[in-house]
Formats: sequence, structure tokens, C-alpha cells
Amino acid sequence: MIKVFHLYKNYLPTVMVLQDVTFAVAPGEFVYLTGPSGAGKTTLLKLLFAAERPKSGQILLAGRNLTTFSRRQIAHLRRTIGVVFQDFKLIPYRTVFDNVALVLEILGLPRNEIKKRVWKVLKLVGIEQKLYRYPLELSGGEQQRVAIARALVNNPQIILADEPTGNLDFEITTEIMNIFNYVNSQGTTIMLATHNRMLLEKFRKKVLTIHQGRVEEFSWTAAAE
Amino acid sequence: MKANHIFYLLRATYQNIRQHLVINLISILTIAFSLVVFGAYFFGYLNLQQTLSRWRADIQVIAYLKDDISRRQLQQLETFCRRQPEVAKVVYVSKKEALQRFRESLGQGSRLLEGLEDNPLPASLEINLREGVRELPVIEKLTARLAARPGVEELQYGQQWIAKFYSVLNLLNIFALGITGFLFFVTVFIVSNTIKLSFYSRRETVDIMELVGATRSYIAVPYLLESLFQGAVASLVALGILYSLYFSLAQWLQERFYFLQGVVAVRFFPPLVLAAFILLGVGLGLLGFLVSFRWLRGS
Ligand SMILES: Nc1ncnc2c1ncn2[C@@H]1O[C@H](COP(=O)(O)OP(=O)(O)O)[C@@H](O)[C@H]1O
Ligand SMILES: [Mg+2]
Repeated sequence: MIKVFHLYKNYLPTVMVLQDVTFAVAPGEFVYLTGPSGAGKTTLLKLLFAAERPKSGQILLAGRNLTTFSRRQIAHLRRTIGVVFQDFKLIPYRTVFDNVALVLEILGLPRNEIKKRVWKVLKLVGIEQKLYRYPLELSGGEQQRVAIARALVNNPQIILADEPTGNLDFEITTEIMNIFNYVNSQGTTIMLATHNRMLLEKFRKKVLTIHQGRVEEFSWTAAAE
Repeated sequence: MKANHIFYLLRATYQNIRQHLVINLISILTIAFSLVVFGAYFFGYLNLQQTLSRWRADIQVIAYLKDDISRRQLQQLETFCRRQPEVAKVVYVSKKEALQRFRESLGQGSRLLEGLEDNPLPASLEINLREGVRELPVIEKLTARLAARPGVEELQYGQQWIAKFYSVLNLLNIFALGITGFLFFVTVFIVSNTIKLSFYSRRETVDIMELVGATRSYIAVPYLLESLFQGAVASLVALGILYSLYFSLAQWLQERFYFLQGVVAVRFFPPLVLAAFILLGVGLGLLGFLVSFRWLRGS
């Protein structure tokens, strides 16, 4: 589902942030992306949803080579990927409903269908009672549920999450992880960046560890570290 | 682009405006202020030009006649005038008519004339000139010929500066072009900066929309519509302000300078200029949008 070959990325001319990164994630897998702060986790995810361009190397998502995509193709690609961030990235002056509906409005779906699908996905993440609230009226955990709902509403094949529980306490982290686990059990491929060791131990998955921009390890053994 | 999109984009525009009322108000007032400055200037220019060209059409040579002119002399003089190539029309105004006109022109003030026993006003010939010869050298030659005729007391052909309006008008036009260009750039600069400011506060929203797969043009549409809306509203506001300014000015002129009525007439913009003015406002909105959105895309 996700294939990366010899990926290099730098922001400044002399500092290579990612070096020779190669790995593959099979369809339906749930993979942690871990490593110390500054290792390049965010950068790698940004490359995967084409918010940044690599210096060299190839990225294949569902068989399509993303490195050759035009701006328009990138926009269309993003409609098939769900992205979740540590800081939620919700539009503050749109309601919960409108934040999630945005994705389907862009697709041009009819209003009735949007209503149905938004309601369904908000129910899935357990926030359907707060439909017409604004993001800033919600707790962090609730905002992250809305962000996840937005990522899920178009039934993406892939979900990329960058420290989605970084700002949340342990109890809410568990609830959020349960949602991701459920979505993964329905067949969605998930790549979730975290440096929270407790998370790795509680929910054991395959772990891609990067260190100073290089792949250090890609296995099931991370929890033993 | 599907039909559903139109609805969502219009709704997004409405939401944007509602959620950013203050910034919209600032933008609208900024554009309106620029338009008022520009409009006031243009108003003055238009009226001055109109007044000048009306005066120009009014240019005529008046030959005041001696009180003791005989009938034959008068007839000969009239015929002579009609034969001159520069002359379009000759009208005889008798002493009585002259007094009557003077009364009318005074309006309420005409009571001052009630005690008058003798009619002090001379009879005259009003000589209108052909189009294209209403220029000082031509007029001077004609009056020289007329002055030599018997029965002519005095010739009047307006102040020289009226005859010089050609150069005045030309100067005015060049000046207007310069000021217009200057005001235009200042306005575009102010407007695009205001819009830039409002985009800056929505940078995050734009980023989020890109993240969930909106194309640049899809993101741009509500901002474009908002800018056009601002331009349109601003031009209406500006017209409102200009009209009330015009109204007070006209009233003030009427009260203080009623005797100038035939000479100086202020008029508001004709319909075509009104339409152009609104278009200008919308155009400013559009230009501001283009400048600032390019800036947004670039960074
Ligand atoms: N926009 C940027 N410009 C310059 N350097 C950056 C930028 N973003 C990230 N970096 C650098 O790239 C490295 C990796 O950052 P990041 O991918 O955010 O790491 P992580 O998410 O693992 O903490 C860091 O050294 C960081 O300073
Ligand atoms: Mg990071």
C-alpha cells in the first residue's frame, strides 16, 4: 500500500533530514513510526501526503508514483488519504458538522448524502451529540475525534497520523487508539507517528524506527527496547 | 465543478463574510474611502469641465447700441452682421426686453428696480458664432470690423479667460490623468494590503483546505466572491457618501449663490458614470484579490 524507495529530503542545502529511507507497508497493516524528536517522522509523513517534495527517491501509494504528481493530482490524491495531526487542524469558525462535511463538499456530493455520511462517521468516533458545536467549545480529545472523523469520512485506504495523541491524556489516548484499531480492522492501512513508549507497549504493532533521518529498524520488537 | 459545488461555495462565502465581519467592514470602508476621494475629485473635474463647455457654447459677441440709433442704421447693422462668415445667429434685444430680462435674473431682488423711472439698459445685438470659430483671434477680428459701424456703442465678448478655456481644459485633462493614475495606485495598494491582512488571518484555513484535497481554484472562489462583494458594497457606500456631499453642496450653492444659478450648475454623476463607478469598485476588489491571492500562493 505504501512503498518508499531510497528517499532523501533536505530543507536546507547542507542538512539531509531523511537519508536513504526504504520500507514497505502492506495493505491493511497498522504501523508505528517512531524515533526521537527531530528524527524526521513529521517530514516522512509530509512526504507521504505530498506536503513536501523529496530531493530524490520514489514514493508509491496504492501503486501510484506520487513524486511525479502535479498540484491537481496531489489534491485528488489527498481525498483518498486521511491525515490526522497533533494539533487537530480544524477550522475554528466552522461547526463540527461543517468541518467534517468540507471533505465531501469538495467532492461535490449532494447535501443529503453528506448529512448521512457525516452523521455516521461522527457516531463512529462518538461525538454525534456535538454536531453543531464549534471546535473551540470542545475538549482536546473531542477535537481529535472530529479530526479523525474528517479523515475517515471519505473511506480512505490509508490513514496517516502525526502524534495524534501527543496532546491528550492516557485515558483519552486509549479511546482514540480504539477508534484507530477499529478502522484498521475494517481494512484501512494506518501509519501513526509517535514517540510515546507507553503507547507502543500497550498496543503492539509493527514499528518503523528512524533515527537522524535513517531507518534504524522495522519489526515487531520495538516494545522490548 | 458540479452544480452542488456552487451551493457549497456560496455558502462558504457567506460564512466567511459572517465570521469575518470586522475585517470585511474594514476592507469595505477602506475601499469606500478611496472611492470617495477619487469620486469627489472626479465629481469636481466633471462639473468644472461641464461648466466650461457650457460657457464655451455661450460665447457670443454682444454689440450694445447707442440710444439714438435710427431704424435704418439698425437694419443695416443687422444685415452687416448676418453677412459675416463667422456669425451663426443674430438676435435683437430691445431696451424693454433687456430690462425685463434683468428683472427675471434678479428674481426676488427685482423689487429693487421698482422705483426706477428711466430705463438705463441699452438695446443690443446678440451675435452667436459658428462652431469652431469661437476662438479669441477670430472674435477679435470680428469685433474690430463691427466697432467701425455706426450706431455701435460698445462691444463685449466675455472675459478673455473664457476664450482661453481651450488651454485651461487641456491643462485640466493632463492634470486629471496624473491625479487619476496616482489615486488609482494608492487605492490598489491600500485595498490589496487590507485584503492581504484578511487573508493572513485565514492562512490556516487555506492550509487545512489544501490538506483535505481542495484545489487552489476551489479554495480561491469564496475569497474572490468576497472581494467582489466588498468592492460592490464599498462603491455603493461611497456613492451614498458622495451623494450626500453633493446634496449639501448643491443646497449651499442654492442658498448662498442663487444668483449664479444659470452660470454654475453642479450635477451628480450621470447614469453611465454611476455604473462605471460601481464597476470600478468591483474592479478594485478583484484587483486586490488578484494581488493578495498571488501573494498567498507564492508563500
Ligand atoms: N520547514 C523546515 N525547515 C527546516 N528544517 C526543518 C523543517 N521542518 C523540519 N526541519 C528539521 O528537520 C528535522 C526533522 O524534523 P521533523 O520531521 O519535524 O522531526 P520529528 O517529527 O521526528 O520530530 C529536524 O531537525 C527539524 O529541525
Ligand atoms: Mg513531529
